[in-house]
Amino acid sequence: MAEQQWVITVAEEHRDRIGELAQELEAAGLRIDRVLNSLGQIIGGSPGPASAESSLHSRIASTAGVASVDAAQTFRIGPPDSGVQ
Amino acid sequence: MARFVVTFDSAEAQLRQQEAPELLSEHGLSAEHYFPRLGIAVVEAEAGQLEALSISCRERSRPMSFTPELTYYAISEPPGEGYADTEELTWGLQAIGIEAAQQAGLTGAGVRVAVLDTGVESEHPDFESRTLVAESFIEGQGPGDAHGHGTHCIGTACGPWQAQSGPGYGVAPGAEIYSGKVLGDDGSGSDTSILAGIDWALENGCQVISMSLGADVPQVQPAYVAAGRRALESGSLIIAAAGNNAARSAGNNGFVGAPANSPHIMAVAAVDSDLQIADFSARSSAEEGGEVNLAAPGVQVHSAWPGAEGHRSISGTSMAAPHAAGIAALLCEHSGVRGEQLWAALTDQAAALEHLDPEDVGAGLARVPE
Repeated sequence: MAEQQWVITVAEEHRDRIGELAQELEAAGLRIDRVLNSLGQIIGGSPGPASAESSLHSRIASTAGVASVDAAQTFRIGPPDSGVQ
Repeated sequence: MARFVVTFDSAEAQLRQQEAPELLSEHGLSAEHYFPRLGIAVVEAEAGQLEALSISCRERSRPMSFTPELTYYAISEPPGEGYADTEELTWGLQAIGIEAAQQAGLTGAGVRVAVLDTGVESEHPDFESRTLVAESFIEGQGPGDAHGHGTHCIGTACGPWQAQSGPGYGVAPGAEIYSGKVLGDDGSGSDTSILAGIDWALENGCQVISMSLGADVPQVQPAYVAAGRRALESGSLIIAAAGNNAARSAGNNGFVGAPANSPHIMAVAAVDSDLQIADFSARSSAEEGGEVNLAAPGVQVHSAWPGAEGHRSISGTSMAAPHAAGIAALLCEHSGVRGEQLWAALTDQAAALEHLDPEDVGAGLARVPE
């Protein structure tokens, strides 16, 4: 999964309908990777070409019940043989 | 009889100045150490007396809470020769005051500690006979640990007081271990795996979540602001490494990175065996939530390592965070506190490091409850 993934945080008052919201986002064109029920977050990405990403991002961000859409970041620790990890 | 702090948290002067001391007297409690400006009393009492007071206050809709009085310690300077590993205990366990837990028989029993990292070598002889649940959130990789970092962090938080060989190195040897592999064997992972790991830890009712990972970005990440808050609301505290991006000897103090800079995630810095700030340990950032909250041992930390090697000494704020997580598990067992209250108990219990800057070490050195 080299392409960009997004973390979609569901607004507090919509958390009990996270499953329904995931379906709406899927219908809007989002590829759903994971639905995190305890956290109230949805992980997904754009199944289409990179050029379509920004319009999909806007569609998702403007969907009722979405609090924020953030690009997933990469984290890294030092290699096993490094003194500081 | 024990000493308790009783708080009447009200803006009403009439309640604080007149009614509160009367309420105390009615329940046979001395108002000698009552501070009307604060609405706070320190009393000697049986727990039952305070329960009765609490019921009276509830009936009259008067806000009142009580907690056992804590002992505060100031360490104005490090011990002359510093700490050192002995045959029995690592320097880190000595510095956090593990003796108090050993005397009280506090092991973190019944507390679930999630360590979200590179996985775990569950066959390690020091983890034999332990309750250990392991899950992987990395595609194509099982929950095992080909890196070593995860096994090391789990060792510090939940390893044994008496190891198969070498000194004891684990803070909470009775805690249930939940190992979530959120970093691959190459040591890297993304928000996807990390948030999935936090979600899993919450579903499993883990009261403590230790995350020795970070990205060197100063901006607070909204996804972790929400995650940290929702964890606290579910009675779970996320403790993260402050970050290793400082090079103090070269004049660079670094900054607390994501996700430790989220306001609802506790950031832990690293000190060495002389209780000096580690050269690599990141300083508080200017972001809201970017403060260092606590410090813990993080230089030359001996703990478990996979394979024939068995144990290894390494350094990093990654090693400090699991010391704090282990102490959180002991506090959880000791007083039953969770979430926000667990956060407060950890910082209240810390020993001030007056020779260091709070921007570097927050409330001070994490300490085992006495």
